[in-house]
Amino acid sequence: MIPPLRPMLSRRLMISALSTFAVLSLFGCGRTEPEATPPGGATTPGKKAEAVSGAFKVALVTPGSVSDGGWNASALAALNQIKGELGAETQNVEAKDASTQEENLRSYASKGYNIVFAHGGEFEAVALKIEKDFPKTLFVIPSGRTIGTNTTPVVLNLKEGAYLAGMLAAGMSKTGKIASVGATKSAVVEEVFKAYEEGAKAYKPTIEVIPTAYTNDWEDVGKAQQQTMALLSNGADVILQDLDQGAKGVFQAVDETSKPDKPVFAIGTNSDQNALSKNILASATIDITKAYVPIAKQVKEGTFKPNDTPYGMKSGVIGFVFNPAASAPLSADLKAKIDEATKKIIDGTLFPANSPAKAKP
Amino acid sequence: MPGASADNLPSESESKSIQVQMRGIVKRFGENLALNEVDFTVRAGEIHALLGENGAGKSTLMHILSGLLTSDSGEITLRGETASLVSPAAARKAGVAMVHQHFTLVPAFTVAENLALDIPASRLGIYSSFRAARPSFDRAEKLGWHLPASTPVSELPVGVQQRIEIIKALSTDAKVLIFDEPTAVLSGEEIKELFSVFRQLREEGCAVILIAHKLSEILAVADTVTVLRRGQGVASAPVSDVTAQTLAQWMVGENTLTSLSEKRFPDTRSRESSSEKSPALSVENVSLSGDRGETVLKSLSFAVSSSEIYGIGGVDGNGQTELAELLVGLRKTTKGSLLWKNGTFTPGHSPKIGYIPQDRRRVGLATSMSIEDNLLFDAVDEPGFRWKGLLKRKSLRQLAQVLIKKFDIRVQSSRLTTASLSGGNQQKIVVARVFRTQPELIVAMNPTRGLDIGATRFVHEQLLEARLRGAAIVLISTDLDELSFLSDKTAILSGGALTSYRSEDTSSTDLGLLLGGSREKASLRP
Amino acid sequence: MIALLAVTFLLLGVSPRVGLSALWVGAFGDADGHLYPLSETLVKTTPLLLTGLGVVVAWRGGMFSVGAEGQLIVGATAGAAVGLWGSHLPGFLITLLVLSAGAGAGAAWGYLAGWLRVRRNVQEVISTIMLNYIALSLLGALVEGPLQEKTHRVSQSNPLPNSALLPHLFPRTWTNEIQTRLHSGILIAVFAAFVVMIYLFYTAGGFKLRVVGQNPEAARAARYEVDALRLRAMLFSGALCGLAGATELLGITGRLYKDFSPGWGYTAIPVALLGGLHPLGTLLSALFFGALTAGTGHLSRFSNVSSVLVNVIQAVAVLAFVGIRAFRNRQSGGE
Repeated sequence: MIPPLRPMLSRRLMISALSTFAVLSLFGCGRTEPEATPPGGATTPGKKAEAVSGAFKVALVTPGSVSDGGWNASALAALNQIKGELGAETQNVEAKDASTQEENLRSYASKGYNIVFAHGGEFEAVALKIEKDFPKTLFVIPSGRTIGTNTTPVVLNLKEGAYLAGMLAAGMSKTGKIASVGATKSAVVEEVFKAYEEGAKAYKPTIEVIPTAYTNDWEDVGKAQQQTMALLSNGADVILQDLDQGAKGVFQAVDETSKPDKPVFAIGTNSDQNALSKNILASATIDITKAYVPIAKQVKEGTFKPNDTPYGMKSGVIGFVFNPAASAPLSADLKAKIDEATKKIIDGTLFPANSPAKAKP
Repeated sequence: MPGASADNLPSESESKSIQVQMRGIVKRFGENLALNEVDFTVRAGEIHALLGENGAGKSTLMHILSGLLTSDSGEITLRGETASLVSPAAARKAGVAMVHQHFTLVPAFTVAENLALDIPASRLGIYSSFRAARPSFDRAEKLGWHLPASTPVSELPVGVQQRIEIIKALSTDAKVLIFDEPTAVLSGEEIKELFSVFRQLREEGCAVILIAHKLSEILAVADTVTVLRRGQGVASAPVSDVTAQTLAQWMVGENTLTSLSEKRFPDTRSRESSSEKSPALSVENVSLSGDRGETVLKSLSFAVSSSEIYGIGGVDGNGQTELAELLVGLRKTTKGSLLWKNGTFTPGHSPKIGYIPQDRRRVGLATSMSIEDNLLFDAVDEPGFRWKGLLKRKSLRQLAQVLIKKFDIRVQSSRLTTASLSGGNQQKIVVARVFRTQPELIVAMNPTRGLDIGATRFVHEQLLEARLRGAAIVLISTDLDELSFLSDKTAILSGGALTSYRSEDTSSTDLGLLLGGSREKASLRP
Repeated sequence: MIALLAVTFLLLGVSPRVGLSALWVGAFGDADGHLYPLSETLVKTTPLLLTGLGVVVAWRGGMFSVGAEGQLIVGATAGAAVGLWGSHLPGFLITLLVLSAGAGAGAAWGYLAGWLRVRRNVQEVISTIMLNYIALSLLGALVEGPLQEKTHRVSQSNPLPNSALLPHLFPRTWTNEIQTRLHSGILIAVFAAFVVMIYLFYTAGGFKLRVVGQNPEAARAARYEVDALRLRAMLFSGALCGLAGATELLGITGRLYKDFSPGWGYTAIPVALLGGLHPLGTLLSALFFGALTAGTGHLSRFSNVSSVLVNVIQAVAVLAFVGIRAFRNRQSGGE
């Protein structure tokens, strides 16, 4: 234990010094930051940045471990492709909790990284808050919604895939009841389930779509399993899920319940989950690489500007993959109708859940 | 065990063989030379007293012998063989055990568990503290002690706790037993019993080393005495050849000293006049319940005048602590009342209070804080040492230095922790703190327990000085000699009840009975 | 310590030279004068210092509180609630309100544990752990309920008005014109360290508090108000931790969210202990922990060491530090 230190200042001097200190630190309140005016000229919304000269540096911040075999793993794959194709210098890190989000984004930006992929909508608020401090860095937020000065959302039209999933579910259901499991309720998530319902009704207007059950947790396998069990016992026989790790709970419940005479099915999302079970009919996939690599390319060339144009099936980011090993075959009619709807979505003549007319080429 | 040493060194000129021989022991603590070339020899079958003032190096020497410390140079032989006592375990293996002044028992454990601590568990791994401690209990029975096996140690009186310590030491077949100031915590009767145990051990062939500083005890029980002074051996002689006066001279090193143990201070007491004074403190029919609701004090009544020392004797645990805490305002009466000069008793203001608590380490001091801080417990509250809510550190430090000088507290630096001080110097801190404020009522509990002659005399002087100044003093002590020496009036507190006695008229037998709580049998005139 | 860290890096399969230099650069900055990392070190020092001081005050008074985390969280929560409620007020007023609400709420949280100990003899170790859980759940319920942002997307509150936030401090010329997030909270924290030092060593109250902490029996025998002193210790300790939450809110996050604290209040205990329970020692040890956190963060971003293994490195550094100190004490201590 350190012994009490000898008083070095006279008491009066110390007190006056400290009180000055206190007043300064308290009443110098409020932030009067200079407008971001980088030497390279100010960036304003919509204005194109210049082409990158010198080292092209790209960083990725993930909300979870990149060995999750899904959402975060696909981001790392995209980053590696950017490294390979565009010769970028890359780094990545996991922001384990919310309090480290800002620190991680700032750290890369302060090192002059050209792009920071902040891999989840939860990073949006932080990115918009700090973007003015780092005008030379582009923050990319998948599932974001707001266009910033140098922050761009990557709007993912998973709902297009969900529409097809709805058709498939309606076509395969024997009980006439289908259902869905989600994590947290948000506008984006609700659109996905709305498109699911639209697709189902479009194929079979009499189908009953049970309202989505929310677990409030993207990762909790147990909760997802419970919710699924409840839905299955309610008579639903096809379940769409929009979860991360929680999806495994849905598949487990389906596998346990499914019997040869009374089959029940699940539909995967976010990545190709078909291999996980023969009871998975198909997966509505997101291939983030097809969004991230073009963005990186445009930034490098100096042609990118922040936008909220959604990435859908046309761009190839969203896909719909049937499970060739599925336990039940689908009818030719159903297959044809789904293929037709796919074509319409790509053509821009069908808009599930009011997806905007503009779409990535 | 008896005669175990007979086959060693048969050519020894005396019939008793040498058990311990320490030669040229040197030990330094930093710059402080604690032991300087000390020689020390103990034979089997003798009670050997090691005498010296606090800080003379007695404990250090014995800690080296018992393996707690290692010497910087010097040689130790046990029964003629060179011994390397690097740890207490090694010393125990070599047959050396120590009974410490501050007990090493686990308070929450039962007697059996404490006794079983040192004994390895049986091979099957099934552990019964009773079975493991069986030999120890047998040993205790042999000494005539019946120990309550399943009572937690914390609930036992100190005297019994010490017996457990002794049994623990004996359980390892020790040939050399060291007792560190064993009588400090005991009452007169218990001391007698302890001495008979020493003699019994001597008959069994053990060497008993007794660290002591009460001359009367040494003369009563020891066979041989070695005196240390400031880290050096002064003399070693058979007790039959020395007088209290020679011992005192060896110890203090002054030739001019007259018989120290018999010395009285100039008699400032005037027993006649004090009885006529109106009482300062009046205790009227006070009853008090303890922490667990048990009755601790039963309708006590007594009065103390200014310039009077009221001595209360008795064995610990008969309500002494509670009475002291009541008198200094730490407890409230259950029944009855306290008056100060026939007005309300508001401790702290009327009267100003000085409290010397019983246990200086546990209650008197914050031992991990500095000497300076410990001197300033009350001073920090006084306006003279404050400036706008802040402490005047400089004035406080000066005050501490003044107190250190005035009360002759021997310290290397006032910033060291009090834990580093000897018991005498620790008690001087408590005394200095108490007497600085010139209290009107002083409550002192065993104020000289464990102190050497010099420190004891110092405390006595301070009490007498305060008395002369006009303070009312309640002295609670287990040392009956101290009580009769200092007090104007004396009483015994036993079983929560108070019986006054006049030390001149009371025989020691009666006192013994009083201490034991049998008031009726004692032939006393109240 | 460096040798131990080097060995750890080797075991983790990272070149010690790369690893150690990453730690250094992440804590203090590049050789080319790019001092952005230094600002991050100080950013992390701020809450660690304030909560560490809170622990110092409580433990000095013999109250072994582990409630810094909960007190920080209620401090931030109360600060955010008050700040959002009064968002129409002038900025400096909001700042003052948020800081006092934070300190007040933290103090109340600490007082609760103190009261339970003094009046109901509930061990503060247990009660503060429970109060931590309650604070955390309360925060969760609020940011998903009454305090949630308008859009109800994420479990977080609306941002506090910009005018209320603590001003930034670090000169931009030190960081190649990059705005850092170092805020005046560090000044508040350093100021608090001096206040705590003055309290503990230059006031009668602090003196008595230390006596109570070292030996409550002796304090009682000296007729100190032991219970009142303990309550005051918890009150003061809670206020410091609550202030940590409020400064973090006003300086860094600007809003309340679910994982508001990455465990500042728990790290505060080793910070305080490493600082020898002395306010100025705690200042140094908070800097050490701040640098370590910033350095290991940098390591996880710019090397292949995974974030889990980074924790191992952090722990090794702390253990090495403690071990070296213990070894030195032993050598110089003698007895």
